[in-house]
Amino acid sequence: MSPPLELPGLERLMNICRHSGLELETTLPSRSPPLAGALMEGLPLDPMLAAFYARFGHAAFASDITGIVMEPLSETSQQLEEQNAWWSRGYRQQLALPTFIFAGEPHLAYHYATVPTLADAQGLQPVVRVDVHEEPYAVPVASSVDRFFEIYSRYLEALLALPRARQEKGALLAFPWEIPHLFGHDPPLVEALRAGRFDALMPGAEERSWARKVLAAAAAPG
Amino acid sequence: MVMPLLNRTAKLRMRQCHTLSLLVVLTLAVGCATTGSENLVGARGPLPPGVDEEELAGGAVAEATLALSRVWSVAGPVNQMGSRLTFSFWAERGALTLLDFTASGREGPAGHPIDEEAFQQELAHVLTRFAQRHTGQVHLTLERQQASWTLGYSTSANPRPPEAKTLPVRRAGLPASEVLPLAQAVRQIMHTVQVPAGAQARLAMEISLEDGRTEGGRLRLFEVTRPGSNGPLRPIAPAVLEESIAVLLPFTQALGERTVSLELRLAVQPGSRSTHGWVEQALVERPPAPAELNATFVTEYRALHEDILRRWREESREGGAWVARKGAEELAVWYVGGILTRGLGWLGSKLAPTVLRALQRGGEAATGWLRTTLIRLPQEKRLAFERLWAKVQLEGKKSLNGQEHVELRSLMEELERLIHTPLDRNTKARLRERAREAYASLHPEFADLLRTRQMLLPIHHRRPLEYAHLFPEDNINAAENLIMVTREAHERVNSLWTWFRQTRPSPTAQEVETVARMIDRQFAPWYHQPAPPSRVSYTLQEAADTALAQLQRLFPN
Repeated sequence: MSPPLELPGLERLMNICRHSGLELETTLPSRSPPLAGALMEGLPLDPMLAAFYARFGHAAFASDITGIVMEPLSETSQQLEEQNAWWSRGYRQQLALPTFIFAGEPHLAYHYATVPTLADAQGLQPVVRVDVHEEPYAVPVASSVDRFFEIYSRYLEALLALPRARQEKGALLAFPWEIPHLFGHDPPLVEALRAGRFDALMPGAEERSWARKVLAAAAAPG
Repeated sequence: MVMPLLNRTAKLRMRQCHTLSLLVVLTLAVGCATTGSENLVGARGPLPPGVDEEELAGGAVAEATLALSRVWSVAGPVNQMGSRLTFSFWAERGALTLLDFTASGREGPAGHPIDEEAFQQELAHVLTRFAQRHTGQVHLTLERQQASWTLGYSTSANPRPPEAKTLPVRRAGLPASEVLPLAQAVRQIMHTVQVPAGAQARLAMEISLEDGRTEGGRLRLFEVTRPGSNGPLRPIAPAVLEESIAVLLPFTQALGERTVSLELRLAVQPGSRSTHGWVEQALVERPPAPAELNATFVTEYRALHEDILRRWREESREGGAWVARKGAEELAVWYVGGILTRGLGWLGSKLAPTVLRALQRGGEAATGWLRTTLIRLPQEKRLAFERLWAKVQLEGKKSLNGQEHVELRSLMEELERLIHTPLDRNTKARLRERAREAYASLHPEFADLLRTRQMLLPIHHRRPLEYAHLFPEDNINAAENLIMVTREAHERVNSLWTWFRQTRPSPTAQEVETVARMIDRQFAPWYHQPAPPSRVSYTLQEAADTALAQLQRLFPN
């Protein structure tokens, strides 16, 4: 059995939350967490998500100012499976590629999902943010689950650097629309965007315009 | 009712004033006043957050010190026996706001010098022992005897005028930025007046004030009441100018927009090369309250403006930083009130008519609208909007330079344009963040539920954000537009809006409202419910099917 994957992005995100006094909530994992590649609602579980659920049953990061919340999978809650069952009956079918939701934003219809069909050679699945407030569409936000944790930690840093961040919270800086320059930290994502691998998921002009900003920022010197 | 409380004669000798010893007297007296058992205090509003009794006591000392010095600057030079000076203040929590001043009997023979220090101590005692402990109008009457002043004190039961302070300001003296413009305005008016030798005249002028700022002044009346000798015209003596300024200065320590009228008696004595005289009366003339705003909102705005202005007057840099830290999110009432009371005439009505209509509703409708609308601006523009309107409110619109004026006009135009423009995804994301916060504040009864079921209970906009531009005067994040539903209910409702979006790509506001009501009728049992309702005779899917059938009838393809 191979050792669990390291998740430096997750560590970074947790450290940002701790050092900035932001809410950080975790619970114990299931005694028998799912393995990488295990099928859920017909989709293989991403190896990094498997590593996450081997460590925690649930987590919420910075949900006091904006935040992301992981779907629970523990001894007491099977919400990850239940929500993917719900997802597969509806919204999943409305997107061009199958997606596996694992996190979201509290009380909003923004979901974070892996895209198994776009996995890289190591089997790592990229992460998209799916917005189902209107017709579903997605924007890619990381080349892997751990890169997603990392980019979110950088977003929190950028948000907290703004005046009145603690009062105005996430409304001050919208993820990912106002931080295209941060995605250059994820070269494989930039490469996938450049290659047009996510085009089918983002039919709208605004998503494509945002993707162009990411590419332009990544190409800019420095 | 007028109730004399004190009437003492002070037999006083002239001495130099010792400010330090007076300050000790004032401090001790205020200390007693704040801890004493005597209760002369009337009804007062609540203290603003962050203001404590110690701060009030410090402010009360400063107010009494300032009032004392201003009263003395008027009375000190008066030596005609029989002169009677009356200063009427509004007193509240130690704040003293001069409301009017009258003088009579100024033509008597000159008396002897008096003991200035002892009289000031007497005056300080009255200002602290009585005026500081009373809420309402207090009248100080000074009558000049041969070698003393008689001091009288009374109160009257009148309602608080709008310019009256309710909180004391802790600062020493008056800043040059308030003194010099007033002195300049009075000087300009008086330089236009000359009285014929041997004549008597009446002069009336008015000074326009906004908070502590002198916004202008004009000669209202000049009338020769007794003809002179057709001799040369005589200018007004410097002593009259100085007395006029001394009388007017304490009127600057009040709130809001107002006019102070000043009336003088003038005469040129035979052989004199200048016109002498005295101020007979000075009083505040108040503009009517803005008719388009409700009284409760105006009261709330004035209280907040006073608190902000007090911080500004005490420490302008820190006060300004405090305003900047709070921003329009926390000080929305102040920004709404400021735009409406100070911006209508010169900025808003043509540039941004929808913005003004939205704000004129006052109350939560206006403040919530402003909070939500400002989210549409990028942060740097939002900060500029707040900074410029704060400057207009604290320093007056004349303080804006040409570039700032253009910038503020441009921001108002941009707001007007934005509220008529469909929202982009970025702005929708910001508004949804704010909606989530707003819902949690509006529904504390769901606090535990919202904390534990974060992913399962989305906050839904009854009228979707994509149609916000069709309702530009409404706050899309208002309480009545935010609903908590389950994920499943949210999905069903969204599917109906998707159908409508595809059927009517460019709907009218009325059509959107019709659909929202239709959806309300079917889904109301699921609104604000963390779980499927138990007493409904139809399922969620049946609700969606019924609503879709109704939509299809109303909007056939």
